[in-house]
Amino acid sequence: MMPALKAFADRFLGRGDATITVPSFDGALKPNQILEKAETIGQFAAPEDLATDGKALYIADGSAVLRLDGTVTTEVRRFDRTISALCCLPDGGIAAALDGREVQVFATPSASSPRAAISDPALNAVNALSPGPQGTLIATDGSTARPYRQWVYDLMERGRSGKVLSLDIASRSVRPIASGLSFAFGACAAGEDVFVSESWRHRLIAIAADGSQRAILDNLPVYPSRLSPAASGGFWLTAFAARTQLVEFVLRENAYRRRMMTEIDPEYWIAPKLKSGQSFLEPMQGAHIKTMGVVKPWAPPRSYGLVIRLDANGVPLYALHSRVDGVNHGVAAAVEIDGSLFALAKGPGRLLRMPLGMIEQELRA
Amino acid sequence: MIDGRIFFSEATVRYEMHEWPVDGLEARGNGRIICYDPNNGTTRTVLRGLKFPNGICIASDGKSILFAETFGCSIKRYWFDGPKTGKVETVIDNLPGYPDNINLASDGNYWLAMVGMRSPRARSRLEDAGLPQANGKRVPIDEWLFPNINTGCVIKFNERGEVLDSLWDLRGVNHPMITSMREHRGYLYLGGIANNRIGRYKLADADPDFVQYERRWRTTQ
Repeated sequence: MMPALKAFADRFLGRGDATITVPSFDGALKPNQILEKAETIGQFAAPEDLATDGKALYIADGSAVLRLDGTVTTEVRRFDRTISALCCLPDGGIAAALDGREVQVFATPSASSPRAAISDPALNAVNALSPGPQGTLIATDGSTARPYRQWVYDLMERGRSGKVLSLDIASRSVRPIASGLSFAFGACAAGEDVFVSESWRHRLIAIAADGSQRAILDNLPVYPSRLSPAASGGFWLTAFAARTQLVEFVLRENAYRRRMMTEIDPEYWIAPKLKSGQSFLEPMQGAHIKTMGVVKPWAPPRSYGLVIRLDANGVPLYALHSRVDGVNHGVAAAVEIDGSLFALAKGPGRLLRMPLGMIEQELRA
Repeated sequence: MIDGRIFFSEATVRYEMHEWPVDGLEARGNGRIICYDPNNGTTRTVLRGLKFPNGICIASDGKSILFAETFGCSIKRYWFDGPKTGKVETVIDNLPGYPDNINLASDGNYWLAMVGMRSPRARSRLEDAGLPQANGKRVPIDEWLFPNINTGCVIKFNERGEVLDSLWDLRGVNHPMITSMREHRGYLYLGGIANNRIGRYKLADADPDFVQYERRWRTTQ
């Protein structure tokens, strides 16, 4: 009862969740152009996720799994459906989610047939996979209402049907760890806990072994997504888009939003995107006006590129940005291999590489 | 005009020039066209209730002017002389963008600068109720929805309202928000009020000797 009363009072007084304010990029999130200036080492048609066994980099591109050796990519395997998540397992195996509805596990990346295929009614929009304890896989399922491709519908419908699932590879069983999340997108084991991105609530939560949840990072100015371990401890947290006051406003104007969703092509909704500036039919905001030949990098981001470095407790240390005037936007996956960070910018379809030494040097400058 | 009268537009009587986005949000016709007559020293409003009138340009008969209604997305023609005196007719309606300045082309047609393009937008409850958008009250101006001004577009049209040509800088690389253009000696010169450059575009079939003022006085004398 109390939360309902508080929500009512907040709406009446225009405070709390009823406000449309968005925190600024400050402190550890202070902007730079490191992600924008990163080296592009590959261009892909439909890249979705990255995975690594610590040596090789695997890329899920459409329905194919590619392996990157130096600058050469080789197709390792191809599925009959689109890959929605990919991860390497500690025993040398690889797991892929197909169309968000089935997870197949292979003993090796090139094994001819799957060791296990898990399809369960609970799997609807699996968008990230991560190794869990005792031969399990942790999967985040964004929404039970919408397939994984339609994430923007789930946001605009204020979806709260995301789940975190534990998949037991040996028994092919599925056990929910958490449900009712506002778009679960990305998980990573953190000691006894599991860190999970809850995109629509702009936060990173820790789920303990007993199922209890606590917020690690709250009130982020972005929509967090997949995360992966960093070699020296801690994590790389990606954010596939950043928040704006206009989107927050539209999310609170229910009648307007419903009308927008019925009348307008989703491509041109007032909603976060993985890339922007493609057409003059896109909604443009006041601060976007190109003035003296320049678009302000701090204008409201319709699309944005961001990777946040977290320490082992989830505290942000620094962030890598591609700002509003850049193109390396829509970063949904980042993995570290051998002293370099690889990030997947889905907006331009680029695989980016940043040597950690270069990052540290840039941040000191 | 040849008799010395000057017609000019006041885009909005309600807001200052730099507050044009607020006027655009309302789009309710706060602008007017005014005539100053040096022969008797009078200044009179000849048309009122216009949606950001702009781009006044004398028409070929010397008895009428063409003007753009920026937020009305239309080109209109007003007669100040002859049998149609006082009449207003629509030349082009429902443009895909927001028209700004109009100028004579060497082939007798007209150039029109589009300040920005229209984008699909759902109408809000408040608009239905005839009130300004809640957008304007709760969201800061930097976050307001705007026409897509980061697109450069110039079209050529004639007095029958036919669009004959269009020139684009689709991504607004060099010329976003073109507010004014003028043909001069075989080139089309381009300018935008928020830009730091003036562009020049070589026109393939244009009269290389065309100078607008000479032509204008020749045709109206």
